[in-house]
Amino acid sequence: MGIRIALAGNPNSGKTTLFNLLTGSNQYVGNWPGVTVEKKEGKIKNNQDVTLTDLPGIYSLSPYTTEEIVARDYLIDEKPDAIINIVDGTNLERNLYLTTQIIELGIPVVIAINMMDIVNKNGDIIDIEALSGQLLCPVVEISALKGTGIDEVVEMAIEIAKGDPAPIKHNFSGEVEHALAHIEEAVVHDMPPEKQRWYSVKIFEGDKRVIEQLKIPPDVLSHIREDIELAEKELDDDAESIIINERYVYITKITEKCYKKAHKGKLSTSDKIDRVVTSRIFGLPIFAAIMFFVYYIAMQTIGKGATDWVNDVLFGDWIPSLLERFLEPSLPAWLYGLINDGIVAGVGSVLGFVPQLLVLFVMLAILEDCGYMSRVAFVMDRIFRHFGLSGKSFIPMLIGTGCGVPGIMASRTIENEKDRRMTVITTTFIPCSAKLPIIGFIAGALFGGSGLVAASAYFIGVAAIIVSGIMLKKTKRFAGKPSPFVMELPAYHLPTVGTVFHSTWERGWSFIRKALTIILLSTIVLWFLLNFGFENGFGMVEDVDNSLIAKVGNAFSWIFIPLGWGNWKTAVAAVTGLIAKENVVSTFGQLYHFGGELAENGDELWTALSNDFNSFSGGHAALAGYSYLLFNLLCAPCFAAIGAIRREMNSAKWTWFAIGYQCGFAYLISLMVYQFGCLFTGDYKSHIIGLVAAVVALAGMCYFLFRKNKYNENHLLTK
Amino acid sequence: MTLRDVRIGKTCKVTKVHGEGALRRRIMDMGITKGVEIYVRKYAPLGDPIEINVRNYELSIRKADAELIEVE
Amino acid sequence: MLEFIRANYVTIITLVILVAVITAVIVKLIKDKKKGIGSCGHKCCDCPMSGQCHLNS
Repeated sequence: MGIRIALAGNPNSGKTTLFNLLTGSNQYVGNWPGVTVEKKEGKIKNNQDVTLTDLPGIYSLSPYTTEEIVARDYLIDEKPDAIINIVDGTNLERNLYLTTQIIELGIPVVIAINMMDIVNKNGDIIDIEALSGQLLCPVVEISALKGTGIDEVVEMAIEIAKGDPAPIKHNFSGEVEHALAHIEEAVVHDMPPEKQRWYSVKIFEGDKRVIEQLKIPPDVLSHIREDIELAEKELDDDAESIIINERYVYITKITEKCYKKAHKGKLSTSDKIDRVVTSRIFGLPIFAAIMFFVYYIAMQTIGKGATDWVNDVLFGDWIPSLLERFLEPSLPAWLYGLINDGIVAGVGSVLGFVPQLLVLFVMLAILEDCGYMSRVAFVMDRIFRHFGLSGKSFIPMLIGTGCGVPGIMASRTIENEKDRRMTVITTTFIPCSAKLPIIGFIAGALFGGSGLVAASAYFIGVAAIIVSGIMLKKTKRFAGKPSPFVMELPAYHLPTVGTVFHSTWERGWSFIRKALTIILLSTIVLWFLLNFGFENGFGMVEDVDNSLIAKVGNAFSWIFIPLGWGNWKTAVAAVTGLIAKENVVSTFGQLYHFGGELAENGDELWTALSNDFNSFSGGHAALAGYSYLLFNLLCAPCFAAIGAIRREMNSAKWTWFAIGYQCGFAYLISLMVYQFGCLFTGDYKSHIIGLVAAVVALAGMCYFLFRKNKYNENHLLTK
Repeated sequence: MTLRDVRIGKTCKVTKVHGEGALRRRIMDMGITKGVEIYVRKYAPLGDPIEINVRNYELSIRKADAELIEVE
Repeated sequence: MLEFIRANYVTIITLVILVAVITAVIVKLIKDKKKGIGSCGHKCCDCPMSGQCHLNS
């Protein structure tokens, strides 16, 4: 007969860290509030009889948000044997607000005050015994980060699970207790005594879900309403506010007896850092500088050296030599070609970027783990709010820098349907880790490996999201009130080596695995398409321009002429990106390895690319290359992401709209970049039509951006 | 006046919370209730949201939502 | 027959390995899909977002 214990507490109070410690699992712990939105279960290490359930972080047991409903439904319907209520010791009052509600549920509770290491460091003092005496339940000090107090809290939880819940304290004011007594009598007297308190308080508050669930007959309801209205009149406030107020009054009384803050008003270290990092003047520039620095370090300095080695030495020298020595003489030419020019060339070109990616992942993991990213949501919120989105839309963007699929799924935390759709459509503008090889490739081939290009890709992604948001918000389909944004800023802490390592390893390995599976298969298929065609009848071709894929590519590559890269190679590479964005690079890797010619190392590959871009853009290699880069970054994402969009939108129409918008947007941006770029270099005669099209596109975009918002309800409800 | 009108570095006391439904509940759940003291620490770049200290912790709240909080 | 194999054993081995690798990859991809491991490399229950995706727990 197993014991079931639930973990409940505020977001960011350390629940998931504690859960991981106790169950030994590896749930990902992001350092931004509100990430856990489902209950997670696990067995406690060394005590297989005890099941632990991690509930979503909540501030209260109100019926308004999904997390709260999930948590309270679990606590009421599943009736765990005990609850461990994690309380953030550095934020006692606000955390105890939830505690008072949990205690009312009639389930044995043990309070675990977390972050005691920080409390002690600050010099604050919490009188555990007094607190326990006030709340009538056991209190244990823990530090989930340091691992202290963990065993004690589990032991205590198991012990109280076998016993009874704490007796109820009647701590509301007289008028309220009076009404509650009436409610208990009228409605809930049939329930087990320990449950009655919570239900009667909820009914007093007017909790719609509870009232519906209990199916209170209308005459009883109106009778109760009278009592409630009496209390409301006497206390001059509405029922819900009365309860909230009184809870906090009660808490203040408790904390006066149990809590002494060391330095009143003194800034903690986190506050001092925040003063600079989120300041009015420096906040945005600092963010821009940090992201630039991150991408610069990853793609240019450290990363590049290693990538060059992998490309030039490993895949340029060692492996081909090995293959040449052992396989070439004994294999039929086509099989050797498949392996060397197909698989090795394709997969090798993608794997070449692993070093740069690893460096990038490490830096991003550090930024996430120390808590900086939630500050960024704070800083970006104003911009987001301007087009009606809340900082909540920032989280999908953040997750999207890894993979777009969970980024798109993360949009589920946005309750507002229209905002959610908009977030789903624009999340993939942020370069995911699969797009990084494309960035590295173009930067390396056409811009001398410039880190500026890499950073610009990130910023353009952000800009694309903002611009799209502004334009779409002014249309009927997306207009609406901005979502509520009240967000807590968790304290900074030094990133832990373990977490950073774990995160980097996860992402890195995921990337390599993808290269060895999906991309591997794609290179094989592509090799066939590349090497077979109708030259003199059907068979292997000598001239790649006669291959099957070239014929297919030529059929539609003309569309991209105004963008500077209307050539079957680039067109085909972009299309292979639909399977996996890395394929764009692996396709080029194969294209320039055709027939075992050149491209013995990365440099030659890049020179070949550069020459090609030069020729089909009439000398504007860098410009065409950048236009190509932007197109691939902004256009429709890979099939996996499209699938996620489909699942989120739950409608074919919206999915097509999303893809259409992304491709159309990508096309127009690339068009403008290329045409205006050519204009600036003085070459406009050969592109008159394209230029006109670009001007029209720009005018259109400006119109959508700057027109008056008929649906602007940004000035919120005031009573 | 409302919380929106309070200048940086000043402390004020809440007299009433307007608004409705989920937003109002969220504001109050976070500790902003009648009678509580709020210290306005700073405004984010571009002026919004506002960072305040309430019940000994840092909270960020939009100007538009701060308008719903009446203070003295 | 034996002559053929002896003369071309490298090719045959290579082909066998190649086919084996391809099959293994395809099988793994199908198994992943069945188990619910998405392109991000994890199962749904490992993801912090899973509650929103599978609300009918």
